[in-house]
Amino acid sequence: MLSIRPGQLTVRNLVKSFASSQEVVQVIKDVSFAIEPGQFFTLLGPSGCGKSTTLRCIAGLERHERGYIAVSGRVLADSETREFVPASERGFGMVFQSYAIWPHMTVFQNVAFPLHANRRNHRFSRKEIANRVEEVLNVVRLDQLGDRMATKLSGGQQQRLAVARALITRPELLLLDEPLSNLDAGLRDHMRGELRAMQLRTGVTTLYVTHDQAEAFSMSDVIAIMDSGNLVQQGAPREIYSRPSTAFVATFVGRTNLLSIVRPPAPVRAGTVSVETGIGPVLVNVDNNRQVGQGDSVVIRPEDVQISTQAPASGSGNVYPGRVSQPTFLGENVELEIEVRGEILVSRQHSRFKFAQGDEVYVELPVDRCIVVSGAAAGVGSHIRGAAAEPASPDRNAAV
Amino acid sequence: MSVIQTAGSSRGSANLLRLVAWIREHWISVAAAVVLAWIVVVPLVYLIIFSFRSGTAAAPGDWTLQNYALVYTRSLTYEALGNTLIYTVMVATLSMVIAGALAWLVERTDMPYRGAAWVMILLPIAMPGMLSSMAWILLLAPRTGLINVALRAILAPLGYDAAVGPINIYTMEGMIFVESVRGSTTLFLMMVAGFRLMDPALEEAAATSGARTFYTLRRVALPLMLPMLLATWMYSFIGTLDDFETPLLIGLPAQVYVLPTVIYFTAYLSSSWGLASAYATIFLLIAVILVIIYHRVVLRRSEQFATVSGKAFRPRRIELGRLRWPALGVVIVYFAMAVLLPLMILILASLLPFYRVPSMEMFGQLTLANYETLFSNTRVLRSAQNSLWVSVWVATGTMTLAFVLAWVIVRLRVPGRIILDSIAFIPHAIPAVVVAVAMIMFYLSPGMRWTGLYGGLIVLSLALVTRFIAFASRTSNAAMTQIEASLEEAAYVSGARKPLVLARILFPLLLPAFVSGWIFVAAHAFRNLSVSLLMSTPQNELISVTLYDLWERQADFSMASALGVVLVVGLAVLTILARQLIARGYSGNE
Repeated sequence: MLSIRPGQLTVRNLVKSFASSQEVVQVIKDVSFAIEPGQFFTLLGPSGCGKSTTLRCIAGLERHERGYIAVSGRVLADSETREFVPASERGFGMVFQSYAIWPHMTVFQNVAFPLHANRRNHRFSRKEIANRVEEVLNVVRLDQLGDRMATKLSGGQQQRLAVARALITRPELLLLDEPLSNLDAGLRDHMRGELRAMQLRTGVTTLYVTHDQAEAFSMSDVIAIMDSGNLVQQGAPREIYSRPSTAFVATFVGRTNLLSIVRPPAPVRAGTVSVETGIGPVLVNVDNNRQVGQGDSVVIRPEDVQISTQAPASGSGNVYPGRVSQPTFLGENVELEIEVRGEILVSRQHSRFKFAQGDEVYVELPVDRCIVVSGAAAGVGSHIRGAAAEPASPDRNAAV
Repeated sequence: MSVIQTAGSSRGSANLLRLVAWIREHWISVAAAVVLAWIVVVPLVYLIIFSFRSGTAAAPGDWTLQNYALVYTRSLTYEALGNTLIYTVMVATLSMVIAGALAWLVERTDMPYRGAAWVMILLPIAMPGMLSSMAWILLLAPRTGLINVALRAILAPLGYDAAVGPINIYTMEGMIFVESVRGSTTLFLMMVAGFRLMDPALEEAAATSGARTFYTLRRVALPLMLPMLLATWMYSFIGTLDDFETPLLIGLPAQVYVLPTVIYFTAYLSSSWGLASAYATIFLLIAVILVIIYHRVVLRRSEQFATVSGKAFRPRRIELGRLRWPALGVVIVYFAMAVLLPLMILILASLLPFYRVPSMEMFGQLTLANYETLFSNTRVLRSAQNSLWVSVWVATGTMTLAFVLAWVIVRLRVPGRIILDSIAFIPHAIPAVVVAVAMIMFYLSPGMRWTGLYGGLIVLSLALVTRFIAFASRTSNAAMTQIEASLEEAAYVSGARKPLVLARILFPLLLPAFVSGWIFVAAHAFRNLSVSLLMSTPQNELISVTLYDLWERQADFSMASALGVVLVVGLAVLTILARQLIARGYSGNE
């Protein structure tokens, strides 16, 4: 087994722009975070949010304008002191989206290259190199394939080879840039589990970048959501899903009902308050340090929206009469669009429940499931939001 | 006061330190930029400066406009400009018509033996320009030309009894004919590419609307291809402007002067270097303007049309019916004129003890003596050795510089890379004779004369590197953009520094492109006459110059033919070997 001493990464106030011929675009606005030793940390966000650029700044492949990057106390880049350690001196392992397997080398040569490249720090003997390559090929289960040309490997094998190459120097930090996005769906699910298992076995501190929430949820210890150059929320997967802090996070992660608050309540310290929305007053719990204001929204997940044909006897209070406008059978569950006062709410129910279009129903929104977030739906009428640009897939919420 | 001074100087030294640190970090880019400036910018700037001075190259005199005044008052200038215009326009048009017809037959009709036709049309690439001019002189010289002799024999019963003619190669028409036939091959490849980019659905749509074949051709196909045709025409125009060999071999005896030959004899034969510099500067200006128009306007327009459908189509072929075999005949006639006849007359001439008016008796005198003399001639062997040395080093130097430049421009994203890219492109616009004159002026100048490099193989090689750097730079940029950046980034992250990344990752990946570019440059450096003739001294004579000398000054046509045949065979064998090598290189990388 590889003996890796996991490192600790600190990123503070990172700022980075790209200048095109017409304009200067700030792709990272002011990003700070820390990764603890051994953690699997994921930057999750839509394309163009700056997550890959953040990773490339940490790798030393991009030069940021402002900010501070250090690993285990070793300063890698600091705009104050103009310090900058080039990528070749940082000693990280990195897996690229395209794998970047060198096509003119064998599997063995690919994996051994970082050891050759680091000769100035430590001269490995032939035997040491052979041992370490064998060891790391074992970790990724590519032993026996050392002599094969790298291009003769299958997609999944190339991906594992890229991981092996990234691990051969026993790096303090492993950087993964959308490593699964080039695989087809079945293999992707499989490699997800395998990558996480490998990370747990080696204990390497890992920074993972992806736009796929299923990957983020299933693998990470900590997820940080990025949106247009800002880090908007950071937390454990379950926390991100169940307690989103902004409308963006709520809609980017999973499917969501988003109700704009039209009239905020009188200021309260904490406890349950009633806010006015398009479907009427909604009771929500408010933390003691949060002010609910105009422009905020109430968020509730479709699986939390309860439906019954009779009015609940002694409900919590968030009960609204509505009509099923569009039932969709999805196999294991049904998704119902319910019209309440002209607004559409989505509810997901077990498929044993049968509803038809036009059924009169009562909708209940449990108070502890109604979350107040800042920001509102992007456009009028688009209260139901799914993750952008991705069709609803059954495995979307599988991990929750 | 002293405090301020200290602060100022420490800031100055901090800036200096920063500059030193920057150069240390970017030393590869800096080195490439310096070399490029040295071989492209410095000689050209010196040429332009010298054109405004009196005196000789070794001892420039006062500033003067005398050179330009002389250019403008000489009637030869206007005659040459007029000739150049007629020559380039006619060659561009004629070779485009030939190439267009051939490309259409091969790509769009059901002509038989299209595979063999491809080979027949592409073979002339192996024929150096100087040799096809020589061959056509042997065939069509007014008194001794084989075809003329035969024609006179045929026409004699009809009352033709002159000792010359009826055809004279030593005319503007002769030049245009030889150069058009020779220049069609490259254009053929461009036109075939253009035909393939055309979506057959566009024509089929016209056909289903009821249009007949030739109406479709005229109203749909032709307008669609117009930008491509214009680009091809202009490419040929610029190439012909630069052409030196046909105007030298046919034009000089015919007293038809074009700009390159005017510069050649102003500089070389009459040693008026100031005047030659002024001509060269004017020529440079014309060429640069044309190349800018070509790239900014014409090429961009044709690319716009091409991107309408970026992929290659296999279009429907037009059925020629009874014209199928005559169509193949057209290709065979072209092949005969471009390769077969020239090669046959060269072989015949090389087997004669001395060349004279062809007759039946000469077949009894055939001998291999010329080849024996050739291989025991120390001058020939020496210049062959020089040519080999020069082409190996020029090819290696040009391709290495081009690949480092491509890396700097495409990948390292160093500030100022656009300027580097433009400088590497300038030589594309510089006519060969201008490169030669600029290099001679610069290395003869008081500042450079002490190096003793002038007249040697090194300066000649540098001039050839300048000549080919634009081509090499374009192909390397294209190859470099094919290599995904992450392949290099993965090496950096692995701990490799730039030299190791260049040697272990980039170089092996780019090797096939490097080798094919190398072969192209080596072959063209080997056969080059324009630069090597202008710059030739007894110390640096290349095989092409020896060949020209045998032909022109010693008038030993048989020996010249023998050397020509050896060259053609050698170049052909080399090209075939190289192609095999490349093919294997590519498949190995698959």
